[in-house]
Amino acid sequence: MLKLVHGNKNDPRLEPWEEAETSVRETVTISQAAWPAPFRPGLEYNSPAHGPWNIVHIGMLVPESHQIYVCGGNCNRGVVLTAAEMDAGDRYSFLSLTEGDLYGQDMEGLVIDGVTEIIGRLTKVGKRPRLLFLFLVCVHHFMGTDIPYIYRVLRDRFPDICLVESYMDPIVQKGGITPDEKLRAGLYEGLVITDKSGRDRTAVNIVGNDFPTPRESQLVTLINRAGCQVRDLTSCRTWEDYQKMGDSFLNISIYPLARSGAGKLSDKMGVNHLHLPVVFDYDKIDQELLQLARALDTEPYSQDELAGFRARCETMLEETRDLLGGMPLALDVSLTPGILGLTRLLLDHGFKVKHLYGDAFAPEEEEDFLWLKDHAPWLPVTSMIHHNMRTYPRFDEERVLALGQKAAYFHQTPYFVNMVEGGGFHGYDGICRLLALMQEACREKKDTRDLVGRKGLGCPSCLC
Amino acid sequence: MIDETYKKENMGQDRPAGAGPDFEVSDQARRQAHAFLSNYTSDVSGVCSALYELGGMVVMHDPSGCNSTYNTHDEPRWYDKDSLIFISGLSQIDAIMGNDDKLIDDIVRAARDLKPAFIALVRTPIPMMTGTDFDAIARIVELETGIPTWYFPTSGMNSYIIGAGTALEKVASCLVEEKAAGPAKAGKEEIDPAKVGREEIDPSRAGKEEIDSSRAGREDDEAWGSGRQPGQFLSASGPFRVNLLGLTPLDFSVGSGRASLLAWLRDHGFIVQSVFAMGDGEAGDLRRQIGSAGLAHASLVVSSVGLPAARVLEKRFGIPYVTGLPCGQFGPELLRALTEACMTGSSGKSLFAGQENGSVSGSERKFIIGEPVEALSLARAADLAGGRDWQVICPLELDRDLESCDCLQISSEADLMEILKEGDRIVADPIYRRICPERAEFISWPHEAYSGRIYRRQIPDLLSDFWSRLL
Repeated sequence: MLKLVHGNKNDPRLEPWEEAETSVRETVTISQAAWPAPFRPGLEYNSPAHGPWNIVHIGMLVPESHQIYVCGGNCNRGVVLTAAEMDAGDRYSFLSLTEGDLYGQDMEGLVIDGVTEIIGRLTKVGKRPRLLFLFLVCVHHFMGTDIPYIYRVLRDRFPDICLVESYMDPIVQKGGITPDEKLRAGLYEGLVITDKSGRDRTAVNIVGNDFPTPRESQLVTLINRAGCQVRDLTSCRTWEDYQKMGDSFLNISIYPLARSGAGKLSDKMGVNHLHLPVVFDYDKIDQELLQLARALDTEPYSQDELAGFRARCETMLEETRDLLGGMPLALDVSLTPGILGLTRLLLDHGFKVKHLYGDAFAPEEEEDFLWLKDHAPWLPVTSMIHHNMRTYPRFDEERVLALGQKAAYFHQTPYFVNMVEGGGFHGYDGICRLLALMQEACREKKDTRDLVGRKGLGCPSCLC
Repeated sequence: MIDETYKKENMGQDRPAGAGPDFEVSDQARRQAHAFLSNYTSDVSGVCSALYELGGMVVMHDPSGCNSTYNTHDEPRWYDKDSLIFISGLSQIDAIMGNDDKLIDDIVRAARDLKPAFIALVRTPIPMMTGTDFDAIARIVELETGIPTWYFPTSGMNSYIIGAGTALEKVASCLVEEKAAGPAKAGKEEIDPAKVGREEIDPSRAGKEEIDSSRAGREDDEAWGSGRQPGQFLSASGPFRVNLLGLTPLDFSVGSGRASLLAWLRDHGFIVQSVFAMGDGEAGDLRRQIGSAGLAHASLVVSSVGLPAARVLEKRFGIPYVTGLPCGQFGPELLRALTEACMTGSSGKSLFAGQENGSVSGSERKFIIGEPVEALSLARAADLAGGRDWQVICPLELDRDLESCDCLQISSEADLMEILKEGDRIVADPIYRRICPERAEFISWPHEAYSGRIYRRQIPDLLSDFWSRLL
């Protein structure tokens, strides 16, 4: 999605409505909003809401892994303290670069020796990792560093350690794959893949997500009904748990940034890959569940079951709407990758959606975007990074329920759903869980300032 | 992509703990490798921190991440106090093709919306590598907006000492008004000996003897350090006015440190002319206050980042400066030096020069790791109270004024591990505990510029009795 924010998307196919001009202001009505990035790129503000995960959080999911970053002090500071704040400073190291190194003759030698030195120090204290994410950065691309050579030599030196090629190179994310996407693919580099005959037909992987999918979800329930268990990095505690993922016979991705990595992993494993994104449309949920049943070669949910799921959602939607009693809602894209679908669902059920925050929307949400243009043309869409957001009035005379940390921050409301990246929710169960959180948020105030400032929602936090 | 056969044969095999490296590495790599430690706030964030409250607009020419790093880990004011600090969102293609027009247009557009008092362009690694002509960009922006535009040649590879120091130096050069030049420029002439004891200076409180540096502090340190009333040390035109330089949250966080320093000055009869650069009100107020810094009699430099600004004020207005933090019994010594500077118009000798710490006359090895002015002040306070032999270690760049001090400059983890393994008592940020011997007594001294916000609530006010823990 980030690549869309900065306006470098080259898509030759443009519909008339896609040609809407990007706004130079921080707010535009959805009827006037350009797709998929409504705002003209410019100087960027960064709000103090930091719940979404970064590459450090993601990498830490691999048990017995370690991360090494090769970069200057400023680039390092954000990541080294991310690790420290999640009490994982002992799984993080770095090789600091100086200005002179950028003009030196042997970056490759420096990286190889530096990593060797760090592994030596870790080994001395009994912390030799089994898997090592070695992060190179933007400057290595610009220097023309021989990256394959670095990895080749290090793999020769440390054959017992799985060395994963990793990048913290935000400068390329605006025109290509983001560091986040690359890392989600790299998470599974350490799996020792069994041959096809060794596949465990009773195990299915959910890959590339940050949060476990609830056991009660229709997705997991269907997997279990097929006699299979779910393997998920978020629940791996040991190297052995992790390795078992290499035996599974099906890979499912839910989070959009996990999709490309899941596809590559599936190719490598020689297994099927299903991308079942978070959607809020009942028919689409049914389609996804049917797809899953076919992939599992099991009975799909019956029409009665599906009708029951829908009825429960409808009941909860009604309950929640009544509880809110017209309380306006503000939503932001960090809440869930299906934010436009959620907005549509809520508007369609009589909720008072007041504000939508986002700088770019996922391509899969195009249909919902068009629906909102037609059915809620007045809906204000506000950038979260536009320069004017620094001084944007952060108060609201109305009591607002925010869905997402950034919306909570911009409205300075203690009533908010503290969730990022979809929270692991999926399908009908996901809708009900989200509505339950909305009810809770409506009833109980939260300490917005404290909660939104913590990095990596759901990770341990040393902040007190 | 890793070969599967290779992985099956090799990876995940247990390796005995304690096995050392099998390969020789270069000394450079050894020094730059950090297996366990953190790193200090960089020059980029240092500029932002120093300029935060002055009403300007700071633009880090960076793809992504610099602003998030800064506002999360280096800037405790971000949530409560708005400041116009942005990144440019530099893309790979623009970096390669040199699309400076986009940067200029974006800055001009934002400046027209936000109307900052000044604009600061801050360099990051990629623009440094590609040789972006920031001087030209700054000139164009200034012409198009009519707003003073500065450029800071940071690289993201030096510490905040360089960044914040350079920024405050710029503030002293550009925001302090020439017309404000006042008494310090007149120097000693301001003090008319004939008036001492007669008019502005109350003879019962501030006689000639107090100007006598040969006496002061030797016989009656207590008298210099406490019990004085406001207005005690007077110039011909009233109490002495002092600039407080080097006050940023990176070294003082947002606890009581700032208030304690201001109170200390006021309690000893000084008027605080300006604070570089943390205030307690609107940005415009602090900027106006700083604009009048030339009226001060002297400057008190409380961290390294204030030293370049102090030199500028000395050069521009003849304002002398004294360096140190009034910790414990070092307070009277500092007070005496500051008063003398006000009276004589001369900076005099550094209070830390020639001071020998950690010469190991005793059996204990004691180390203080941190920002040098703070660490040297603590060591001095301990020394004066009988807690001798603290060796100051500075993992940061040392300002030239501090080069003659007894301070070991060590930034390499390997070298720190080597020296600290002998340590019996160590005062440092809690993250350093990872490389300290278990047997050593570790005194936690959290530093915002090192561990960020993690231990913010435990950051001590150095004017409190924290120094006594070194005894």
